[in-house]
Amino acid sequence: MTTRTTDARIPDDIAAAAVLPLSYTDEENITYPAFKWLRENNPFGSAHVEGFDPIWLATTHKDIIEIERKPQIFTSGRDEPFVNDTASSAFFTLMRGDARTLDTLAYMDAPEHTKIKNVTSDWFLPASVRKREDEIRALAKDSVERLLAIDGTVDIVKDFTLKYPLRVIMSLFGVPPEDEPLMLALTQELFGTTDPEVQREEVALEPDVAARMFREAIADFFGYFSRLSADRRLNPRDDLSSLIANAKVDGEYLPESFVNGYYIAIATAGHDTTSSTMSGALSAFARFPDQLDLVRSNMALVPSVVEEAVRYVSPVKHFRRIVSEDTQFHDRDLKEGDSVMLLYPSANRDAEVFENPDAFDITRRPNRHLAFGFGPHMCIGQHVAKLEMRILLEELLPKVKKFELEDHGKYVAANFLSGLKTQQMKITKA
Amino acid sequence: MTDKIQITFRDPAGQENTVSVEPRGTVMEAAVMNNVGGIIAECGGGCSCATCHVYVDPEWFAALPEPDPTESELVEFLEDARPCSRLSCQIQLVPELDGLTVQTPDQQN
Repeated sequence: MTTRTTDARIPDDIAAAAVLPLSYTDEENITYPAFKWLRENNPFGSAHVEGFDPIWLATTHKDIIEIERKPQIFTSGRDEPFVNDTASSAFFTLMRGDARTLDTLAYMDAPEHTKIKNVTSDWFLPASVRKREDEIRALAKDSVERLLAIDGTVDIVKDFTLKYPLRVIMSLFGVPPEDEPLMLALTQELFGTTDPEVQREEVALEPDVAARMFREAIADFFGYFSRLSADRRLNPRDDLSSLIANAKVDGEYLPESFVNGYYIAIATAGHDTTSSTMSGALSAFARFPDQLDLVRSNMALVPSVVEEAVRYVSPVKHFRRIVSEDTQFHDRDLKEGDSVMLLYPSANRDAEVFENPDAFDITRRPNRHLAFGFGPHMCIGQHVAKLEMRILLEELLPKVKKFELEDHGKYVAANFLSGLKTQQMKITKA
Repeated sequence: MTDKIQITFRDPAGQENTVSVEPRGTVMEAAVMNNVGGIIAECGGGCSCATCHVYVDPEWFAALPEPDPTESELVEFLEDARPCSRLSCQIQLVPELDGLTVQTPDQQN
């Protein structure tokens, strides 16, 4: 292990670039340069940002793997698993009392985490999700057809990538198509809560606004899904909600809060992230047209396009871990209760692992990105995500010769889940 | 009550450890439940981390269902992969696998 002589404290402008939600609206000029500086100068330092509690920033590929390998020290269940400002954190603490904000996997540690994850882990395995290929392909064909029917400039997010993953995840759940607009609005409220453009109207702009909106969106979700699971216990079908609603752990149905926690996690995690990755991939094809020509001439590369898109976009910007006991990491002294922000986009541009990391290169093999995380909390839905993205690209790319950007695009102002929220594009059909 | 089956894990030094398990779940789970060393399964059985890599004894290898392409892709990039490499989290235990023998690699990457 190398001894670092640097001061633990990260310069204020770099710390703000990594932590503040607004930074993620301009990754190219704000977050990625800051991550590069951190990896080269202070890969595991302490960020002090006004309005936030101090937090350790883990920025290298190697460090994030090392941390994820020690979930008993770097825990998920002790507090919210993402970084909020101090006012919002206080609001969460007040609202939840002794309970947890959400009874879902991201908030759990072993052995509880293992038990709850096992309810759906087989369903999410590659061979199992592949059984859904035909129904997903029908949705992909329909989405591509609608996109290509638009004359002139399209908004690749609103007209295309936002709708498809939602339709996929809702069809896996068994949620009827007419309820999709409601689900769309709720997901955006849940994780776009730091972005003023999507904040709920009835909530005044107070410091704790993010937390308040989160709670309200969750309450709306719960209402809907409690009705859905009641129905699936009476009328079980071959869908994911029937599996979760009827699952028994230690001989009992899961408590309602756990069932709803599962729904919320899958509905939100399976939606915005995939949308961001797909819109990011298509805008990358606009910037790196040779990569589009390459895959169009060899469609066997599509799975590699998917991996590279997930690396390049890294739609999950971080998860937070809480230190369970005083410990040393590198030459830093971590105290029980300290927070660590695992910056996956930084790991995915780590030059120690990825040659020419800022290039969108669909021929990277192997592509050992950490966009799905690592260790026990690694994304359970990654095989669904990869499958639906592969199918969408297989349906779309043969029909498109060129993507061109018509504006700079706008990104969600959030430090947890971010990505394009609008991007005007010109599509030239093949 | 189903009849139990025997699964043998051989470590790189040749030391064998035979466990008796119900024919359900996976080879990885049989190892983890019985504290067999050499199988880490970082991701908990999600066919995504490749830290439950095993070498299946040749006489058993052909008896297993074909691996999913996702598994094959992961195995392909293991530095110590061999033709009989599999991820033990993707081998479902069934009564026909009574006597299955696998070897654990020098280390899981």
